[in-house]
Amino acid sequence: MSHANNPVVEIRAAVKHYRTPEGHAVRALDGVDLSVGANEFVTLLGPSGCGKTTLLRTISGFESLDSGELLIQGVAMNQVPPNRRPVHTVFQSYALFPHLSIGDNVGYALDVRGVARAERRQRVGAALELVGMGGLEKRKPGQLSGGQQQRVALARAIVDRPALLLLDEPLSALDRQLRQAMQRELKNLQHELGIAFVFVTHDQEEALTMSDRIVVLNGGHVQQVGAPQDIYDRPANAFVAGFIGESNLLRARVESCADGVATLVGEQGDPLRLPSAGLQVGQPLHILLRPEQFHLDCPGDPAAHGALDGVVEQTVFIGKDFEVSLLSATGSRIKAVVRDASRQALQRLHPGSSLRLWYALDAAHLIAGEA
Amino acid sequence: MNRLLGLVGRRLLGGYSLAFFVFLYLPIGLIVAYSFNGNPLNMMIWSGASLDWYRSLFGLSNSLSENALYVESTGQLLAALRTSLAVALVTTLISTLVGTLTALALARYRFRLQGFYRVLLFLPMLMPDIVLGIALLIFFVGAGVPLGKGSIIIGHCTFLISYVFLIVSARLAGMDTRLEEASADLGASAWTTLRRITLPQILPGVLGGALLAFIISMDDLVITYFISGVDSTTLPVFIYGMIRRGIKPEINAIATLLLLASLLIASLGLYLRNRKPATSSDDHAHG
Repeated sequence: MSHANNPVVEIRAAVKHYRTPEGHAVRALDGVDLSVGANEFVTLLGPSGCGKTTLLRTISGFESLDSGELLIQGVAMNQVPPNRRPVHTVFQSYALFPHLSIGDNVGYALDVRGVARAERRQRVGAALELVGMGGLEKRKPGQLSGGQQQRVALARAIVDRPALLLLDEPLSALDRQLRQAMQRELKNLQHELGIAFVFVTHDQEEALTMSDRIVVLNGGHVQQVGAPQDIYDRPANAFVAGFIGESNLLRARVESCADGVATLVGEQGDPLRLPSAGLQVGQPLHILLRPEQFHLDCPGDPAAHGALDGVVEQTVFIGKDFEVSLLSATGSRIKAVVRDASRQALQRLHPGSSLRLWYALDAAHLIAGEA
Repeated sequence: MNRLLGLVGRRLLGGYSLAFFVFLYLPIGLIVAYSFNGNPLNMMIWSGASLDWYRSLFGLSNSLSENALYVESTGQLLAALRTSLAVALVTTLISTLVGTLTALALARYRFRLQGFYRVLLFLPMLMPDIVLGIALLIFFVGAGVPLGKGSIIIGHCTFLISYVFLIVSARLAGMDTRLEEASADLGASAWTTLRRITLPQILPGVLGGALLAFIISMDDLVITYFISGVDSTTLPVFIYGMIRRGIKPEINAIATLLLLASLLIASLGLYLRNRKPATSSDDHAHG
């Protein structure tokens, strides 16, 4: 991976404390490591208060670290003020200068660096063209819609080709349709420009759609770093599993290990056989099952599949698929998405009827659980 | 029945409003009317319209004022006006500069005893004029500062800085600090950010503060009365002294002109206020 050789940003053991108005110390960053490669789209994902915005503001220079190292293009940045960092930010609120025209907003970074007038005009025009706002130089920010302001903020931040672009939940104020369109555009733009993007969001769908890599943060700790599919399919812990996508976590315990096959006893008491690599007898586990991994009928060898019995609570048609909520015998609520339900199968999905759901054991992802 | 009560109520309310505005504006209207009265001896008695008082103000000869026997000459009056204007201009300049910078410092930097400094800045506004006047007088005399334009300017600045500080602070509080962050983020130094982003954003507040400082400085009597020297009388002090010996009709003309000037300045202030750059429409974006 390119980021391993020549990272644009490297953060090592970053620690940042806050003091709340009540006087409690809060660890916004608690030993965070992060490395972003050239031309990489990295998303910082987590619930509000997880430290993602603090981490972003540390890179832009508006927050300083209590301890730890921050390097941008190999240069230590801890003592460098924001205006001397080769980094620009697209703010959540856009923060366009209301008294300056669109052209002057976009040209601001060039003015500061003393770029000649003709070159400035050309580069401002090109940047606006790139975000689909060509020819609007004369307008004022107040005359633009939210989506247009978003594009101008983007043009302003890329006009002088920074080494790194930071985006602080820039799409959160847009409506759903516009947001999805902008997600694709941002991804294309990043590819076209070859600038590394660090994108902050609490929206897991957004993160999965756009990122090369996702950094899941919670409580000031990095929970997991990985490609979207890795994170979705193989979450490192229960937090990540719960935060990314819909998931069902079933408790289980390793009963025995023999010949590379572990026998697990799940909540319902049925023994489940799984590859035993890395498992120990007595170890408590979570079995992660995504809703779409359930089947109404056993699709193959019953020994390679697990089954869950329960009573249908609710069935909702969500377009093409049926979302079934099942109350299992042990009282846990299972969410399953069932596709291509035949008329006969639909009978079984009526609320109140007993139902057995099947899942392939090799599709199940195991997460170490607490005892 | 209810309709009738409503009608009576509305009539009463209308009458009250009318009475209120008459009470408010009749005295001012009278002064304006008297300023055009041609009677040199008793301005309460109308003896035909005349522009003589205005003429005499601008040094043009006229028949009336020569007939009238008053101690003060028109020259003294104009000198007082000039003193007032000079004092007000310099005071406005100093208090706007210092008040704006102080507001910036308190709004944008964190330091020890910040709240205490803020209170210290408010206090001169709340202090009774007469106390401030006596205190300044004693201080100037004790410190050997000669009473004159200089002492008036210093005296006015002591409380007008507070006014400007207050107005600019309010403007700064309403400004999105993200704008300054965005400027720094795009590579601008603190000075460039101040010049290109912060100042244009708070300009309506700065101008409003300056206009207020100018008007208050032009208008101040109590404090100025204590600290003006013999040959540096301001217009309000001069008029006050004049009234004790009888009212010279030119006062009406001066009052009318001052009123006109105040209206112009106030209109200018309102115009600048409405012309202020549209605040960024991102307020609703903060989810």
